[in-house]
Amino acid sequence: MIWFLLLLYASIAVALAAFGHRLGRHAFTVAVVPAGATTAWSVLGLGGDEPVTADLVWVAGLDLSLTFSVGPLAALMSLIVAGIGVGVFVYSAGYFAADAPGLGRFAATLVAFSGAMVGLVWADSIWTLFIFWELTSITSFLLVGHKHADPDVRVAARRALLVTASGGLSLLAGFVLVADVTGTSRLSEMSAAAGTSAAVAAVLVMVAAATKSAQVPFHVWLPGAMAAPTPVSAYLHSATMVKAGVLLVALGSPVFVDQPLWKVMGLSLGLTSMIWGARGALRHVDAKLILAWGTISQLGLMIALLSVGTGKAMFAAVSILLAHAVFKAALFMVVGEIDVRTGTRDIRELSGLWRSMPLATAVAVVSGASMAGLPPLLGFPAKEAAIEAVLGLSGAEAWVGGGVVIIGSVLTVAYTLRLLLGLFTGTGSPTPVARGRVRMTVPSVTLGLLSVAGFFFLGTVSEVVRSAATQVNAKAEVYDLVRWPGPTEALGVSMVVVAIGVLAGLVSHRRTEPAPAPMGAAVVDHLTDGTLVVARLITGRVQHGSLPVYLTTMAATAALATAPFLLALDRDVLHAWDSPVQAVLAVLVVAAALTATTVGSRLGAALSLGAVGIGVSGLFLVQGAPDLALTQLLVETVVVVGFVIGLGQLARRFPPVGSVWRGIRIGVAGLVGAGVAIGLAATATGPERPPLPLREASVEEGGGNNIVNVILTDIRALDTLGEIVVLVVVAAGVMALARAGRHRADPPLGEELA
Amino acid sequence: MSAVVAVIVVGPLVAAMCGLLSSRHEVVRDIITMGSLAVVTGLAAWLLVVVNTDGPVAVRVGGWDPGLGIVLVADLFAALILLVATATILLVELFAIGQRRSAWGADPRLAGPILLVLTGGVVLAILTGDLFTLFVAFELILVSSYVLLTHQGQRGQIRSGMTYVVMNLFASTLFLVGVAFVYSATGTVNLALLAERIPALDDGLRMGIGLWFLVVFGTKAAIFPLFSWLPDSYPTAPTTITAVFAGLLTKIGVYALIRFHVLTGMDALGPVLLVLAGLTMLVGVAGALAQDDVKRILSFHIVSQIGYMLMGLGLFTVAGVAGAILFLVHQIPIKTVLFLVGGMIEVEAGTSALDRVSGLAARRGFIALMFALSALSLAGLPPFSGFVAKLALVDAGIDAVAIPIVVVALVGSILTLLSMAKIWLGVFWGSPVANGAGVPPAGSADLRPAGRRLMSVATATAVTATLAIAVFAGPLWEMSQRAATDLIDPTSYVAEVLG
Repeated sequence: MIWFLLLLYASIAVALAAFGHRLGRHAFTVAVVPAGATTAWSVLGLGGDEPVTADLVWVAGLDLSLTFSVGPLAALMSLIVAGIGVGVFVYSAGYFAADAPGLGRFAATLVAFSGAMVGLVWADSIWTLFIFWELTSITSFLLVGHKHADPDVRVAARRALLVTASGGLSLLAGFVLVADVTGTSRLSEMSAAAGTSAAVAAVLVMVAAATKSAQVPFHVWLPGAMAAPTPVSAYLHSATMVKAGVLLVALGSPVFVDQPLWKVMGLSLGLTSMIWGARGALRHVDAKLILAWGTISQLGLMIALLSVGTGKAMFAAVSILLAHAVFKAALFMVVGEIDVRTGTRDIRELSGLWRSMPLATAVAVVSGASMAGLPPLLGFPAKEAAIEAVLGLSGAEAWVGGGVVIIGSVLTVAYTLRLLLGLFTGTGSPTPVARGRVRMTVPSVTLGLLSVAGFFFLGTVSEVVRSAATQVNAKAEVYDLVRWPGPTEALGVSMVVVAIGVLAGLVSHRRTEPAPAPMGAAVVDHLTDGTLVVARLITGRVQHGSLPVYLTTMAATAALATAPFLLALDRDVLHAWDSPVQAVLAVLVVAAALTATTVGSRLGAALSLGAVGIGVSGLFLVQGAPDLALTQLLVETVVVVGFVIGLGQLARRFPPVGSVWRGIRIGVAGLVGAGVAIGLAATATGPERPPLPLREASVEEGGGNNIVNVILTDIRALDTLGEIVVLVVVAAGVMALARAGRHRADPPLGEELA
Repeated sequence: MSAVVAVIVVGPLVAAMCGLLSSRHEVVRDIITMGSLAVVTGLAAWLLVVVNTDGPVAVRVGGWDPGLGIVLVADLFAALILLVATATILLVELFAIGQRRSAWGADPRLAGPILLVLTGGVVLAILTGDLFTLFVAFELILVSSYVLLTHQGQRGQIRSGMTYVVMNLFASTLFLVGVAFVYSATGTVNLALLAERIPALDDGLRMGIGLWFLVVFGTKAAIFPLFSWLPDSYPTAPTTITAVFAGLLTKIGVYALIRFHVLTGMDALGPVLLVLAGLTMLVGVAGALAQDDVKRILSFHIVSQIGYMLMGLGLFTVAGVAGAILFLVHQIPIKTVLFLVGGMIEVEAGTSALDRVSGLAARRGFIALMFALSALSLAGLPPFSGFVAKLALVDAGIDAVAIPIVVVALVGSILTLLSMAKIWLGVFWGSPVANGAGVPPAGSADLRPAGRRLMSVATATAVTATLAIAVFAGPLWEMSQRAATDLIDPTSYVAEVLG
């Protein structure tokens, strides 16, 4: 069934990408299919005791596999992912105009995301999890950039991609270490890890979770991601994808239970985000941004609770995760509806909507109340569980954790109230409202009702949450969500929280200040642009386009490479020359070479090079190889003649070169020469070996007395064949160039090539 | 099997000469080119199957003893790369026939036959078991690639061709000197014999030879600081030519580097290689980020990705070398595909400059899809082939406790993603350009619909091939590991050649 559902997602996504543009908004009807099937199957899986598994080995040697295990936690997660997915697809069909461009592609990407997310929550192998983790990042990038004609949207999409993909790399490194330390890639088989590698892995995995779940300071991409169409914001950036980080922390907690860094990081990231996110939600006037910052804050609470590590905190975190998915998606849908029907989501501009959009108001109030943690809604028992969990801590954790969670809760109440008041009431004239769209209303109302239903069927919800939490932390087994706790300490705290929160909300609602600049986002963009600038600088230095500089670099590198030969040089064996004639010739060769580097006229340089060649052929002669000397002499003559003919097209003198630069070039060239000399001297002093039986081979087997000829035409005939082809190609190339030159009106290249 | 090896090596060269002679008959020429490439690819596949089951195949050219004559050796490493390389060239030639009628097409009278010579050089470089024949193979590659680069005679091409040919000829000279070093120190140029004799040399000689060939092959492979010729010259050539260059030329340099340095046991150079690998990755990707043209961005990525293969080699472990081999297998097609997509962008929009193309995703979803699939693979994202290759290298790096290079590799891949995002945002997103710049240029008016279809088919096939590499990463990784094992412990290679 796991394979069937994942393949269903994949094939529907591909089909929509290929043919979706012909369907218009009906694309979303098709898109509902896999999500609906997954929802149904997840509901069935909620009660199952034995996890359903599926396994497909990909690369055995690297332990890469597609391995899934659907237990209570995975089933709950996929229920959220697919269930809200169904709602979002229905909602999308209402959200977009019938003639909106690119709907097929949008639906396809959304289905692909949904499938990737389902794969992520079902994963048992860390590599499976990683694969789907990255797929959600990519699809998120594409969805954020849906309205890419707007340059701001493109920058926001790039930012989202870079932050989450950096997190992905952190996860990759962390997972390699985890697999190394625990000796397995299966989450279900992992035990607590110890040692330095485990500590590093803990940090890396936590960073990855923080990027995905938009924890401060990695939260910067999430507000920008609100540039996406609202269905995307409701689905990816509140209900599901951002929860992947939370899920990662939950799954990681048994592995990193002995790592103090894991707990410290999780708590500080989570608690900071909780406060900072709430602060953001209190300052913005764009309703989507308020919700996005609220999401950062709520995710912070979940991550903090998960890092606490107690059974109760684990239980509370899962409860909040569930409640949050339901109410936040509903709130986004309402905001999207308001946006579509009024043309704005600025809470300062909206007014009187409670009259004109009563149903949306009701949904928003119910969901908002659930977010603030009020009864009789699902958010209330979840919030109670969280407060109880932090009150149950001891020592510094209790003070810091408790304090922050309480302050965060106060702020949550405050920004919820501010949002609701801002959206639906106002002093100005009532905002004109367009006609409602059923397909937008149905999903949001359903989700709103779920917040209520969750409270009234709390027993069932509690059971589901408990079995999910128990899967990660066995100690969560004993806890329950309570409809009405009676006069407990936590309830008292809650009442105080609500009272202060309402006051704060009323105060902040009155204040109107301009929206704060997106500070962190600017930092990321500057960092990105800065990287580009640095890249330009480096490239300007390295890739300056000057051939002489490239050549000098290469020659210097080669000279450096000969350094080890110095070690192997055996000075005792070395002697100056075999015959004094060699010395004379050597001086001639060196002098001619030096002349070639310093002479100003091109013809002079060519002649000097010819002199070098003649000197070398003299050396061959002394060595007893007259054939070779003759060949060399012939080649040199032809080359000099060629030069003389070719130089006729060019200026007579070289362009001037600075004396320092010329000195450097001569020096480097000299170094290469010296290096080669040392190398040859060193290699020549190696162990004595019997000479190759070339004479016997050529005379007896090759049937020729001239060894060189037999080598060229028989022993190494393949090399000769190759070199002949080289000559043919050169000839063909020269002809092509000559032909191209004849047909072209451009002035000759002469001076430029110098 | 020896006949197969012989046909693979000599076939392309003979076909090339026939192609040059029949330069006036387009159909005949195409049949010769495509036919011989198809035959060579088919034989390469067969060779891989045989080598994979029965072990290496050695052919003594002319029946001469390995100490004297030339030996051709097809071990697993060679057979694997051979198949990937020839198949890639085949697909590019298909694309080239489709693109012929556009302004960017190479001159078909010359391009087909010379491409065959290039193929011959590549094949020879892969299969030779002889250091000097490797030099000849590099000469074949160099001269044919120079002609392909400049044969249209455009100003920019000739100027950049100058950089290309001078740098590479200098490297060839150094190669020749290196052969002299090796022959003088060991008395042979046969690689199997060298695998026995070089490790027995003094440290100084061994390191000197190793470093010298690092410079030689490093120039061919475009590693830091010897890569400058590449980004200056590649973008100026016709797309199909650049696609072949990008996929193959530097990779043959890497191939030679792995072959020579692992076979001769240059483990001591590991740290040097790792430092150079890191610098190559970073400087290459910095260059890519600095560019504003698709082909130039991709050219710098060639350099950057070489660093990853060098990293695997520098670890000198089975896992590391196997990672480098798998990376090579993944890179050859992926780089080619990216340049083919660049070519399609050029044909569609008239340019590959980022600021003059925009909104292509809406108009040509197919090109966007092709680009996305290969760009994600290049950046090493799952589930594409680049991910498996990168994971293999990171895994090997952490196993060998080479943490700095792992960090650099990961940073490099996020920067790669950034530059791919830059292309995506610039070329595929945004509103289609309305001013004259975005209108297809005059040249593409000649492009027949059939030609356009052929280009699409070739690109799609190549992308499918890269996806197949991802799907069959399991067996490929297993083969890479065996190939690496046989390189690190060359007993079976040496036995097959000398035995």
